[in-house]
Amino acid sequence: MKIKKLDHVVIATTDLDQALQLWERNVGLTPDTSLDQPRGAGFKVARLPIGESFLELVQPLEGSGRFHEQVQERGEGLFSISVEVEDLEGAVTHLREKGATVSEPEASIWPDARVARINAGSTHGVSIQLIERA
Amino acid sequence: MIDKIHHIGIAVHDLDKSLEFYRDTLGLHVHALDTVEDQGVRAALLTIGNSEIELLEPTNPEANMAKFLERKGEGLHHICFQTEDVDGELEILKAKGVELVDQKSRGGLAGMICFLHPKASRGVLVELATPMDIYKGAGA
Repeated sequence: MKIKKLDHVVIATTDLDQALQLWERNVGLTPDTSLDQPRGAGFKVARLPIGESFLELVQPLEGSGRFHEQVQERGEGLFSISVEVEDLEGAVTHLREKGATVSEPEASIWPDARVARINAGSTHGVSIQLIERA
Repeated sequence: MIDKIHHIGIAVHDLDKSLEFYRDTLGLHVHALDTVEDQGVRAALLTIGNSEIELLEPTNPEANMAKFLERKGEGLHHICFQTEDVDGELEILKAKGVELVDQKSRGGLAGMICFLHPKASRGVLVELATPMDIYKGAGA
């Protein structure tokens, strides 16, 4: 499988507005896009470009969902990484052949992109998302 | 001024086993493998686009990495941003009163580095690094 780059890093927070202030103060990053409940998901999110990648700050809005559970379980902080692949279906097939647990490809919250998630049990504890951009 | 994500640090129990996934299954290239005694870690750096993935295995049970693994288990540990001037960034952060782990830059795997306190970024451990080939500070 061919990985092109680190596409983005997801950070879970309970206070998106304050987190945005801190990221601007500490490393000078500012958002170029914000989405409220994208595709009906129970969170709001802001995207902060950095080099060829971006940070994605996510605040869960309801008392359920994977972001909410993460914040409950591990506290705020680094949540997952997303790596850009050339061929999503090919990567999923390859990873499954190697024994990894990978979700079915689906549309990303971001336009013109599709994603699949590798289960953290296959990656030494890291939630890794594969993303293919059109 | 931050230029890019230099690397993402991942804490693992067994570096060789983790390489079976990150190198052999994901197909990422390992460009460095090193033990850093004063940080109590053995580390592998794998290239991903213009950034890196840093796999970190504790070698010293008293070091921070071992304690992190005990507390949280394997997983994402820190994010490192590249800057041309880590010392200048540190002065600016101090002036703003940002909580820091390191008051002065020090030598690390990524060059001259410093860590901000996770409190400063709502639970994210942030590292700043200036690679040695562009470092112009007093220690260069």
